[in-house]
Amino acid sequence: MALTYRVDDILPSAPVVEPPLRAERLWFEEHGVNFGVVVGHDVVQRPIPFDPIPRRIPKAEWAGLERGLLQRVAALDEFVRDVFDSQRILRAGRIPAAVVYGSTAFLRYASGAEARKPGQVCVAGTDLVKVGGQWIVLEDNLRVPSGVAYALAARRAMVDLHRDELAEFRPRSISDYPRRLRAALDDRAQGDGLVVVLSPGPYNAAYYEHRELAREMGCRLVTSYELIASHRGCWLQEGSQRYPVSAVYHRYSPEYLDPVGGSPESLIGVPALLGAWRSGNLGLANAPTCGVADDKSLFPYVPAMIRFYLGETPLLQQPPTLDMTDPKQRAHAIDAFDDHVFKPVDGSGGKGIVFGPEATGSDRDYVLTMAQARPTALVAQPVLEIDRLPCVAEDGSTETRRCDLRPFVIYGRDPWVLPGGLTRVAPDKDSWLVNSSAGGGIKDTWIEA
Amino acid sequence: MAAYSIVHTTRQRYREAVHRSRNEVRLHPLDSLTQRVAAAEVDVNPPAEVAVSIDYYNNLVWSVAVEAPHRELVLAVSSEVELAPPSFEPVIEHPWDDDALAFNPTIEFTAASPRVPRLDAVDILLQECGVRYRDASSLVRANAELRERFAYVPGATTVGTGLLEVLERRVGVCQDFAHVMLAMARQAGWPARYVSGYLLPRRSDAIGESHAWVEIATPDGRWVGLDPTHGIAVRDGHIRVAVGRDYDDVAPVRGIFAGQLPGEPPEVTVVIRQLEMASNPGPPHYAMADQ
Repeated sequence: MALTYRVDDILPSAPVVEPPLRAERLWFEEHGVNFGVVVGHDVVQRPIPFDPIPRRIPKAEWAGLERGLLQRVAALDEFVRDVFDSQRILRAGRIPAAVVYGSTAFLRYASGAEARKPGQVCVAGTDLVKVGGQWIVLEDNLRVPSGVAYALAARRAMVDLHRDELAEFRPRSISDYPRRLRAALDDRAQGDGLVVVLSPGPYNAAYYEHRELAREMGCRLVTSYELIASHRGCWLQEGSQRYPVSAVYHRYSPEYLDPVGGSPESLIGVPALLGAWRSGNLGLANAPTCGVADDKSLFPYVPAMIRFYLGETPLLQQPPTLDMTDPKQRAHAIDAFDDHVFKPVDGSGGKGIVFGPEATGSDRDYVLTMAQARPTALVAQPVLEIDRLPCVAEDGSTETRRCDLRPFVIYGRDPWVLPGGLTRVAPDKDSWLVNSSAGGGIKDTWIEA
Repeated sequence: MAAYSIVHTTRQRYREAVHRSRNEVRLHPLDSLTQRVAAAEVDVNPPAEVAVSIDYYNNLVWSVAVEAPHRELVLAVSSEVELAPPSFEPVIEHPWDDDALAFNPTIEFTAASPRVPRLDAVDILLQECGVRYRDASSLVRANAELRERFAYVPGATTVGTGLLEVLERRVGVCQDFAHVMLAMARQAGWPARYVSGYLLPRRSDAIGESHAWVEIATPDGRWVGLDPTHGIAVRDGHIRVAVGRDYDDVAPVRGIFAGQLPGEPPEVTVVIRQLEMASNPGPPHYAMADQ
């Protein structure tokens, strides 16, 4: 009887297949590109998930975005100065005064001559999504815009792991960012002294970024315990030595920068740091005034700011935002609950956001209670079916996921938009949230040269 | 015209030496039509660096930085103030309407503030007191009658006691009375601000006291003082020191120190003396400590 062999039997055992994304995971682990995720009561630093299929943006499309972003940030910077000066826009009735005066992010403690100078905004990170092929702004981050170091890491990972693809497309370089930021900080420096990066410390989610930017800018990375401030200036204390500091690039929400003027129960920050800034003896980026412009209750009025301060038509679109203090708008948002996303006005990192379509019963109760009890603390926007991008799934196949884009603008004497940005990726094909604190990942962003 | 000298001393003791401290002092009396500040200085012990600035609400702020280790910080503010009787009767003549408020800067003081949130309990109190929306006479009457509803009990509350607790316990000191009145005025549609200052003693050379009351903005551009602790409209018995949305904006001394243990509550003494105008012809002297 003839022997029959099954093909499988005569071939050597199947080669070990690399699990999908293994090289990428190892690269991010090796380079320590971590993002802190809250687990129980702890912050655990984990390598940020990385997707190797880059987002590509054609040249002309990017040029339009760039113009729109510069316009937006210019108007926001003017707005910040105006709020701390004669409040022209309120007097002109273009923004309801009650919205500004009621904003918890309006840090009156920062008021003074410094608050009226141009360049309050140093770095802006604007969140955009594409809906039906059209770019739409979702929010402006001006307090502590973060993520740029992750975008820089994503590019380096592509250089190391997907060199051929990169060589073929030749996207615009983004490596100039640290030099540009340093120049913007030097512009804001007061007197001679060190330029330092002030981080809340290793428990901060974006500590990797603080460390990385400091290293690339040639700056000392410090925590609040190492700085001493008074109205006369700021110093770095090292043993018994004190070195003058001329500018601080801080990564604190401004209300926590200085416990003397901040919330009375807060002990973090550097006492009298804002005093040093207010008396013109220290550069501070972003200026502590900026919070008021990134309050979500002010977001609906950014187009009005562009028209009022620049006399221009807004170039970028944004979704309508419902004011929950207005009974009609509130009723509309609640009636069509499933069509809306509800955001706390002072939140970040996706915290407290409720998506109508996937809200649980308790989410819904929370929104209904808040809408009644503290309507100023909440806004509602229509849920957008945002365009998806191809991503590599767990099993190695390709799936599409929701993504956003956070480009970075360095603002001041020489405004500049980083040609690229951080493309954030939802953790799976069904997720709505792209925030890194919600398990989202990142991918590289390629701008056609 | 009457003139007064005020010496306001804050003595902060620490349980152990602190390396350094930073404080902001809002105790320079306000210069206004009815109140002229002839002199004001702060004396700090141990020696300190002192800087002057003007805050968002136009209050003068002394920033005090002490660098040497110290177990005690003494801030002594001496000022001389001349009071002119108010040129108008402290009455609220016209109520606000939405159009009048729309472009008026005083609208800032209609918003809730950190220490005076919007509360349902305040609406209930407004009802209880018969205060009608934007109706001046019912608001002034509520001010006059607040002591019938709230007990004035020194020590019953602290500087940190919240409005809701005061409303529930119906007890407090002048700071709490002012916060309650602010909440009522704002929820009844009036711009209202917090005033810190002093009450003039009834006899000369007496121990004075820090005090707090409120001011209500009227559509004709005036601020009318209401003192809910005494149930009166403010005429000429009060010296104004600082204004803001609530206590947190005008805290007389606010600061932080580098050290291990919390400090004890500060000891505060205020001495107010009436000056003989004729025998006080000397030029006013402005001086800063250690500048």
